[in-house]
Amino acid sequence: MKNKNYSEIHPRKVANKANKQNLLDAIQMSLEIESDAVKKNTAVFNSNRYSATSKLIDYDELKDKARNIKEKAIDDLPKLIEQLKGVIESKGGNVFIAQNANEANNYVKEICQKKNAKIIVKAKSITSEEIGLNEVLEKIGIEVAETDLAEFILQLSKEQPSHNVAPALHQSRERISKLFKDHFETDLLLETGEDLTKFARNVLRNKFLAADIGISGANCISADTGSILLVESEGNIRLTTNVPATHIAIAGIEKIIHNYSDLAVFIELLAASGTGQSLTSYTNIISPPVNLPILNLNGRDDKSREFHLVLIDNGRMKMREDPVLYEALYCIRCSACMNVCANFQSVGGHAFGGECYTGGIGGAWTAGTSGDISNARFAELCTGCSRCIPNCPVKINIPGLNTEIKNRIIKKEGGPSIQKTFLGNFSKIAKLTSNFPALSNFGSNLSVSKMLMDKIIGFDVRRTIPRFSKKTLVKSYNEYRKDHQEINSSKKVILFADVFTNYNNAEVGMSLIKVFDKLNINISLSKSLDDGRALLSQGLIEETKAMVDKLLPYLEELINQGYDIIVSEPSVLAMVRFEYGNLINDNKLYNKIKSHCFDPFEYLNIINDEIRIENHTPKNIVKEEIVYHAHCQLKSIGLGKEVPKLFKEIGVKISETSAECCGMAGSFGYKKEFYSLSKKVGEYLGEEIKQKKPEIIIANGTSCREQITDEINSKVIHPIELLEKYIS
Amino acid sequence: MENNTTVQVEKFIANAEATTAKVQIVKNDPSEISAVLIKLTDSEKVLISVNDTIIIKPYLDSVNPIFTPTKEEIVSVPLCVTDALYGIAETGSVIIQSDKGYSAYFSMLSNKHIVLLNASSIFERPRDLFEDENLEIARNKSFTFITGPSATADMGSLVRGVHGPEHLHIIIIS
Repeated sequence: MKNKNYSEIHPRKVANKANKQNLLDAIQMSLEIESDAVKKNTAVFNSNRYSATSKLIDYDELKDKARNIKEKAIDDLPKLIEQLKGVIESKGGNVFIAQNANEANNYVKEICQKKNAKIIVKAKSITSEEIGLNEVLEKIGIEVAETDLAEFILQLSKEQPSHNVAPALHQSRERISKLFKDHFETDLLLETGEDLTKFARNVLRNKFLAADIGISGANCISADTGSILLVESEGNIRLTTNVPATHIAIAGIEKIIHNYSDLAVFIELLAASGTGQSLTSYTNIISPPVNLPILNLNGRDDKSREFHLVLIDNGRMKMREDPVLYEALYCIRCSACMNVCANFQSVGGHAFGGECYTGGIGGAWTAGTSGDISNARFAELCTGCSRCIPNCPVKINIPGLNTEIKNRIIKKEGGPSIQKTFLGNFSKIAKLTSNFPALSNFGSNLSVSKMLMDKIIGFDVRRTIPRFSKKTLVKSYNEYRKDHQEINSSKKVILFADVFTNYNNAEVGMSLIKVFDKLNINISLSKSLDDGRALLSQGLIEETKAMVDKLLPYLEELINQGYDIIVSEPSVLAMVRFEYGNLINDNKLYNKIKSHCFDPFEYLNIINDEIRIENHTPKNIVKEEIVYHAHCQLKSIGLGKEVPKLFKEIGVKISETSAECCGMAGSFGYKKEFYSLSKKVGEYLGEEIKQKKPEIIIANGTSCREQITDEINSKVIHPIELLEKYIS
Repeated sequence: MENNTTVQVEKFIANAEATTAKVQIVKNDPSEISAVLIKLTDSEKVLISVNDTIIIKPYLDSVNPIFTPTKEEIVSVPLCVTDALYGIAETGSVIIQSDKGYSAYFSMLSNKHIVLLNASSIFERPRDLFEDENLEIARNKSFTFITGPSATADMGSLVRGVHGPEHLHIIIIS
């Protein structure tokens, strides 16, 4: 890998990720030549989405509606297909249901031959990439003109899409300029975006005027009226679907919904979630037959309009029966999950993607439509940070799909790697080594041990191995309580001694205990037990469930005794509050546990009317520049603002980072094969923090603190440690 | 209702201008509407697809209006005037019917698109058009929400004027 030059690696060559080396090559290539463009473009989409969705007054209700519509549609899919077919045929259109790519391609080919087509204009259709339509038509001598500017670029560069909405997201203006100059004879400078757009427009306008047939995709189709929703900005879809008299629309069967009136939900959600606009330039609804005058601009003599809808199964019906991956069928291809994903922002869909489907949701799609789980190996790039979940307009648990994919690949390949076993069982190793922290800290960072960890476990040698606390939290706490009695108060609180806090961050746990003591809250410490997060991150689902089953009775017992449970490590809290919903069969028990586990700052905000935190801190705290990086999973369970909120109560202003995730993401950044990607994500975060010139940096995640420290070489503390400093 | 319309019109203008569309309000008077159109006209020939031509009669008399274009005209005349079925305040969109007449073609092939929109046809949100069974689009279900000029960000920066018009002018008739 190290000796390879990116120029030897072409996106097409590494598109098939069934081969692990292809995944690693693709990451290297993307980091070297695509990262900057991807970062720049996803950043725009990402911030625009936040602003557009905040303007949707009922964003959450709309998401619920959209989810509901899709759930019902996939439930009724066989019926809807029949209904849609009947409606379109009754109005003179044609519907073909293709079981696989071959059938679809042959059908389109036959129409083209029957129409004696020479030139076809095509609007963007990722589904047509899935079936490889262009090659089939080109083989019989038909010119296929991709008219979406991004697809036009990809057709020239012979690359696969790197993003659903903006398939050429990875291309910089400079590269596009070179590409055009290599392919067309022109004296034009082609330097600015305007130059390039005008040039491509002129090339393609001639194709529109000469086209015999137009081929489009579909964003959504209503079964009751046979209406197709097509969303775009350039105007090429309007030209493609109207200027030639024959229109072929290609769509996966999952695009069908019941009712015409429900299209409204997707019109508003797609624009806001996709490009972050209230609406894109053109939102088209087409209900064939369209009665526009026939233009025959190229001299054809077409007398009537013709419409064909090609509905593609290609693995979707099988996905519908899959107990986990069926959820991907709800996807409306808005790409919000990619734009919000820290890893995707750094490498794009050529690394984090397969032959045509990209990003977090791309794994399930690649597995489903290709029929081979190994093709979805790029799901390893999903760290489970879960920032995509609250940003998905149909509320798909995308990290859950990727955990399942990791799990199935492990099984297919005959069990977990040593790396996965090691990282998943961190609690056991921590317990073992915690007896000799000095020795293990010293030993684990020795070059010899590091070399062994690198070779055997695949632990990247450039990382500092996480330090073990000199004393575990449990030990420190027991010693502390010998001199400091528990406070007598009506409220009983217990700090959960999670694995990370107990073994690596005892000082954070102790700081929390002292703060609660000073605020006169009765706090004690739980036993230290594994919550299963480390195992789940590796895709070891069965082992996770076994671990959770061991922990549950203890947590339930604490709650029965009247305790509110504080969980200071965000990944553990998110595990309990979110992941347990899918891991525990007993819904009542899950809800009980979920409603009694709290983030420390969330808890203090809830009870602040009683404790009045401002009465425990000095009136005028010296102003310092404080930067807070909120943990990804904490943000995703809706608790990203709790720290600034509490500090505001005591007059301390906190500046927040905009980075979605630090990139360390638990064990991800320690893996040798993902080190450089993780560092890239960390670099972006580090730059952002440095620009703020902070005097104090706070972060609530263990791995966030390690990543930031690694990146900017200054101490990062847990917010509770800062609070302790202020509390008298 | 009066007040409500005013609020919607103001919101419409702000949101349409945010998409770089140009918006003007004109009184419902043929000579005033025509005066505005003449100012915006930079081509001798103009593609016209307007249902109620009486409201722009003086304009039609002063230019070379094309109602049924030849193949050459439809691809070469750079300016068109069409009416809109509705407007959407929250998004600054105009809705163009696309299953009869030439409005759809003109609005996708020309370089400058001038749209006439009745102030009373402005709705708040896209969804409102799907909730009213009496509306034209509930019966004829092929139409386009046009929100600003055609645009792309595929070439490394945001560019207006791609396959569709580069300029969008909306004239709101009060």
